[in-house]
Amino acid sequence: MEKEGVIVIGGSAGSIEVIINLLPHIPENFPFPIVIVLHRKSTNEYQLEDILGKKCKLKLFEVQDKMKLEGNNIYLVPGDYHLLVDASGCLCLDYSEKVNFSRPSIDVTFDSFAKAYGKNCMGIVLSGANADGAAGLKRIKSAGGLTLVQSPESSKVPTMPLAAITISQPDMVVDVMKFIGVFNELCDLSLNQFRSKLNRGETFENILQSVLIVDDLNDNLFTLNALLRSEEFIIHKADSGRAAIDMAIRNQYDCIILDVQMPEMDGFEVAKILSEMDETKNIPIIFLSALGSHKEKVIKGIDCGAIDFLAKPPDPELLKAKIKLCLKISKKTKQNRRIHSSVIRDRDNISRQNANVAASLKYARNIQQALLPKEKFFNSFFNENFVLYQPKESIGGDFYTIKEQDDKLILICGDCTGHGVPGALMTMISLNIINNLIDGKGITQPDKLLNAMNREFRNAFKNEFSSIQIDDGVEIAVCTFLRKENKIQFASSRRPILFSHGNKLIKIKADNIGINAMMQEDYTFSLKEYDINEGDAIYLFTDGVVDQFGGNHGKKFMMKRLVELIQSFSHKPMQEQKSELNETMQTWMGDYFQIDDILILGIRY
Amino acid sequence: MEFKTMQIGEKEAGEIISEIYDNSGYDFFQYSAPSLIRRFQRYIDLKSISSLDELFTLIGSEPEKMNEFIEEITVNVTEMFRDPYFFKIIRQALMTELYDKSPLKIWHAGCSTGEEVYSMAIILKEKNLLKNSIIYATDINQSVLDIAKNGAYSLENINQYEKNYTDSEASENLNAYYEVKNGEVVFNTELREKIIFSTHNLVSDSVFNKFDIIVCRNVLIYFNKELQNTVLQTFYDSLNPDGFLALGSKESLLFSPINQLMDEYNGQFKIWKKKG
Ligand SMILES: C[S@@+](CC[C@H](N)C(=O)[O-])C[C@H]1O[C@@H](n2cnc3c(N)ncnc32)[C@H](O)[C@@H]1O
Repeated sequence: MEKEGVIVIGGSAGSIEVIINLLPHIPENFPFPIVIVLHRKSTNEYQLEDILGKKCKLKLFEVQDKMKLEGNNIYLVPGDYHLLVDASGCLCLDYSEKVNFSRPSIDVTFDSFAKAYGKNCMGIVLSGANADGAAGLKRIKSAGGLTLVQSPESSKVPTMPLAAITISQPDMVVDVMKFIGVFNELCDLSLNQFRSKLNRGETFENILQSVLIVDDLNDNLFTLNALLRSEEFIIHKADSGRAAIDMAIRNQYDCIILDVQMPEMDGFEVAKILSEMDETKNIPIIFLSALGSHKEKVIKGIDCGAIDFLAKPPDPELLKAKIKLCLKISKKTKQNRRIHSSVIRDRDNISRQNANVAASLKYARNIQQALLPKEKFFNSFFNENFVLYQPKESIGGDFYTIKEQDDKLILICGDCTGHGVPGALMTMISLNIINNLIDGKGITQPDKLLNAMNREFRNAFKNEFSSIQIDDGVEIAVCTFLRKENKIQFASSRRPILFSHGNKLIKIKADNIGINAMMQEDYTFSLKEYDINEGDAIYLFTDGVVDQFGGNHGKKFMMKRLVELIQSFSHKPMQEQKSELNETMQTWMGDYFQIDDILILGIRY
Repeated sequence: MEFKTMQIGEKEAGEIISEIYDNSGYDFFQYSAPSLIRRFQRYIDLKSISSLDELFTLIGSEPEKMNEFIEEITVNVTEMFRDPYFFKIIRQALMTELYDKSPLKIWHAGCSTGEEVYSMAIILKEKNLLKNSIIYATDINQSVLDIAKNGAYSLENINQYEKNYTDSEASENLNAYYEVKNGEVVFNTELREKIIFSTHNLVSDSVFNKFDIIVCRNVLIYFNKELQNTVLQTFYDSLNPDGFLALGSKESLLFSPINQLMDEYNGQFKIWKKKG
């Protein structure tokens, strides 16, 4: 039985289960020795050897120094040693530095086997949490050996398989359920034949499609097996209904040939159970029975979930053709299932990404709000005030600030084009420019400030011309209180200002020009100056208020309504004004969406 | 290009071993080939060497370079109280079979940087046997012996050592035996008083004394079977009757003729006793 060659399996986190499930099914006539390298704590090594040893039909050893690879024994590498090998199959332990933080390291063993065995070596990488094994697998491949990686989808921890796939481009990526198929296949083929089978372009899925034949009579199993043996699929045998169900759950066959009359559990019952379980309900079943010609039985068989019903003894050609059909169907369903699960994975990814974005937006909002002065902060300059700030999204394009320079107070309210992230970025830039101009250059007069801002803005975006929209920019209202002289100065780009002066409400007109990269460089804003008395009030606001749709007819709120509203309550305490404004806006909005950021500042001098 | 550097196989390894022998007299002919191949490859990759000639020119240029190469290819990894359970068994043996020996003579062959020897000294001290002991600690490599003599180690591994020590059923705290100086763990000089550090080459040097305990762990794995047997014979000849031989946890006497002449004392931790 013994053939030239060796199978070397490497795994880390999540691979012990794979091994435990695999070992019991490796057939007794398996022709190669198997070496297993697992990352593990040296403390539990004795248990592991015991657990695995009990599981398998083959002999399992923990490697002792200078043991020889023999027969189809299984060799487990001890904890805390690297394993090396020479061309005669002599296993050598090595107690040198860890590699990839691991001893044993899979790379070390793979390297050594690649050198000693060349093309007579098959390397397998299982589930694991680091990249150990990937470089070694590549070495095995370059030396002409076969390489196989557990599919990341079927790995508990996919890091190691992913690394191995990327770095070594293995010959096969195999679902964990299919491993046993590979080992079965290897029973009848040399590594070389196995490779040529792969090279013939037969996809792995093809090679490893598997058929379960079920019959209580061994003779029948034997004949069927002989009949189908030369076909391109793996055959498993079960001699009872119960065994068939157990095996089907584990192996996801592509077709089951099922005898009807069996003791304990007959074929109909088996088919019913299989068609009810998620793991097995898609496996096509063909009944094969001496009852094949009875009409009622055939119908009953189909009712139980079978695809077809053949009489015994079957016509070989017909049977093979029907099996082929089943394999085709199974391949399709499996493909569909894979697509389905990748759709689900995509969906999960998207919602995870959404959650991430939401979280960073929330974070950005905190940053932005920290930059905008709080209502309380205004109290140190004015008798009374309010700030009504409602960004449309969690971060906004509206901003405001107040600066003090000697006896002057500069109050600014701006609205950047866009809301959300682009808007927020623009507010940062604008605030930055304003701070530089006032604190750095000492510019306090509103019109001069706007003129300078226009130039700075152009500079800031000079290099980015192509990537921003032509009219991306900012509209901004500035008023400067000259406290010594009790005067107030206004200048504004597109934002009207309301000035409650005595019992008059004056609407201060804005220059109808926005500050943006397209604006002429030397534009000069107009300046307005008024006396201001204690009790006078200033209202600065962005267009989110007046542009808001709502009311009974879905109209914009409009400037006129705002003026009337403010006129009606400008004598009231500022905080009361805020609540009234808020209420009015909410009622107005009703079920309409908020269309833009909303900002209104009210100041009592 | 897949591999820029030269690939070492058995043939190339043979040539390098000959070159070392001709050049320095060190005999690696009977070392385990896969380990040597791996070490050679490592050195060659590290130095981006592309041919044997280039390697030979490099290591042949001066004795210093050759020494450095030899140090690179021998493995010096070690730990304190490695396999804690092993030390637990030694503790028991010290209190029984070995208690009356005076002086108690111990040989650590391939002691590397000394962690294992200090571990032994600590348990001897705890059993109050240290003052009656003579410990020979030998290695082929002079520079690891220099480190061993100083008894100063990096702080990096001390937690692992503390844990190993505790697992060996210790009665104290490991820190009773060292101080931290300049970021290093320095073992008390008292532990060192009974240790004789010396070079000794297991391949070429012979029996030099008789011992009650010989500890040679994770050294034989670097030798081929024949050399293992030669060295095991040397150990046998160096043991007093009823003397103990301790090997590494995955090494064994199975392939050696002296297996007949020894009794297994602990199978799992590879301790044998010379038949009396
Ligand atoms: C991995 S260390 C073992 C250290 C320690 N005994 C342990 O198990 O932790 C192997 C040591 O054997 C030494 N060695 C290798 N060949 C030797 C030889 N021919 N004679 C003596 N020592 C040798 C090396 O220099 C190295 O220090």
